[in-house]
Amino acid sequence: MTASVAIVLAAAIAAYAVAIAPHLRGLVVLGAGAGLAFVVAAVIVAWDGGLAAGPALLLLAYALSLADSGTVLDRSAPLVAVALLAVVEFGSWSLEFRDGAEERPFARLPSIFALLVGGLVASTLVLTLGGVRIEAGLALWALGAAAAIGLLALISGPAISRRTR
Amino acid sequence: MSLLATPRLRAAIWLVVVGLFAALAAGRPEPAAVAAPFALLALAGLEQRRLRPLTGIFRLERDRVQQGDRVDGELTLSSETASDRLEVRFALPPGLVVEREELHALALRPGESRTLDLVLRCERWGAYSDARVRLRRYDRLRLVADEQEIELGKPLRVYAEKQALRAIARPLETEASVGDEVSRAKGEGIELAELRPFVEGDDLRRVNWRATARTQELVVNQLHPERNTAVVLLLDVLADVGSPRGAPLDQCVRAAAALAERYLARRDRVGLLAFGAGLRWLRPASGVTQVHRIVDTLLEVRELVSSGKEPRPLAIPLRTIPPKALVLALSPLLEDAIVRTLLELRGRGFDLAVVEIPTLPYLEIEGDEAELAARLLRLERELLRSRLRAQGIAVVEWGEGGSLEATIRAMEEFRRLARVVRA
Repeated sequence: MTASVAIVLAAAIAAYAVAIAPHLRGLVVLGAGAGLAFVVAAVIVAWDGGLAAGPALLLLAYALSLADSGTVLDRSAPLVAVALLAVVEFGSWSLEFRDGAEERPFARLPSIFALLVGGLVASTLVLTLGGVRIEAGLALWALGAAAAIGLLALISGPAISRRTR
Repeated sequence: MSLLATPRLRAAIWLVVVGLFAALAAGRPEPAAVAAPFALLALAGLEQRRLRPLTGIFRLERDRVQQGDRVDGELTLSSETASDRLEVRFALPPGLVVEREELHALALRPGESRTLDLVLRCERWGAYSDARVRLRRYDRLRLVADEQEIELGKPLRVYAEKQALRAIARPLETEASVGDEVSRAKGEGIELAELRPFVEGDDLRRVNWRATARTQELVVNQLHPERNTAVVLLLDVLADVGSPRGAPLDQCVRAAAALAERYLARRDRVGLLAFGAGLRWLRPASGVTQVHRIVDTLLEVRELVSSGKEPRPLAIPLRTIPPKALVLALSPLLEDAIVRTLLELRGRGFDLAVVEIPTLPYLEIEGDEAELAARLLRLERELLRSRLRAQGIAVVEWGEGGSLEATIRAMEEFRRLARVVRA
């Protein structure tokens, strides 16, 4: 059940990315197809690497579909975020089920729902802030890049060291 | 305790990387907006450093059981930190099986303690000190998990099935102490050896009056003294081949335990010499304690099973075997090393007998090639037995369904009829 939800949502994101792509449709189809294939493989053969690569490829396909689509914001980006969050969440959950069913599986649903709502709010906030046009040119771009790199360093550093501990 | 990132956290990090760089490359906020929830998720993962150790106790009701028994046990787990999902896996050595319905992953609240009842089926003899439970605990968001192992509180000793035995193989020579074996020598005893003329100093109570009346001169009884013997059980643990139905080593161990018990009941001295990848021995001794010592040592001989490399020819320390001892080898006679050792012992002049445990009944032979190989193996074994018997070594086969009693009687028969050859 959880695996099916993950696959259906991944397929929906792939279809959405292909549908909104005005240009580079071939590349978008390729990325979305590969992402979907990775998610399917991950939940079928219990390959947890596929649950990282698959959604990442879907996000890449979505980003490609937005290229050259003008200055109009895609207001459904938070929904894409929530769908991707659900793909990761349900896909991981299906892998965990393979290692043993849970005593109270439905007890987890409220926390997943809260997570999705929180994700929707965070994504909407970032999209709204990102939509504000501030004419600061290269300086603002550099600031954004530095913030992105800083965030990545903050996230990946401890996580990687923890994984290898 | 080791901490690891779950697939969820790894996926979140990847999505943040892809989302942020796609946003920068495309100059659009949507990919960053998609990555934002994952960034928050990954940051939340960093907050999960405060997982306190999980405490657990894995214990069984009994620590000494017979093969085939079921033993009740329990696993108690308590955690100071909340764990959304706690996976419990039993990592038991072959020979132990946990009988339990499908085990569900548990959810523990902070400070909660849970006890799981379990039944352990002991399918094979042995000393099990490495039975353990592996636990994997996830945090509330299931972004990180920690793993730890809980060992069985006390090693479990599973004794092999008991084998009834009345027959024994009598050693050729006896020792100096009193026992149940009638010595070939003459002295103080009960069994009549022969009659001889009276000489000065003989005890008058030994005069055989019937013979004296017949021969018209004083004749006395010569008696055989009752002495004890020394037996060394030589256990071959060079290989442990077999199928789920059993293995020749199981039979070897059962025979060794039965023989040790039988000889020790006769006040004989019994020693044990187990050799495989290494050597383990118990000096010959008598008494009830020696029975326990031997049985306990037998439980640990599986550690000596060779790991598949060519076994080294072993030199048996001379002092481990008393000169007048009967060396009783229990072996499937699979390895050259054991054959060389037996021939070497015979060459040193030891009284030697072999209980051979055939391997073929334990193997699944299917197909023409396997049948042919089995036939060749049978012929080889027959040749090997002839070679050993030619050296005066009694070799008897104890088949899977046969009785040890009959096997030992056959051995005694062979030894009674065979002529002793001194090297």
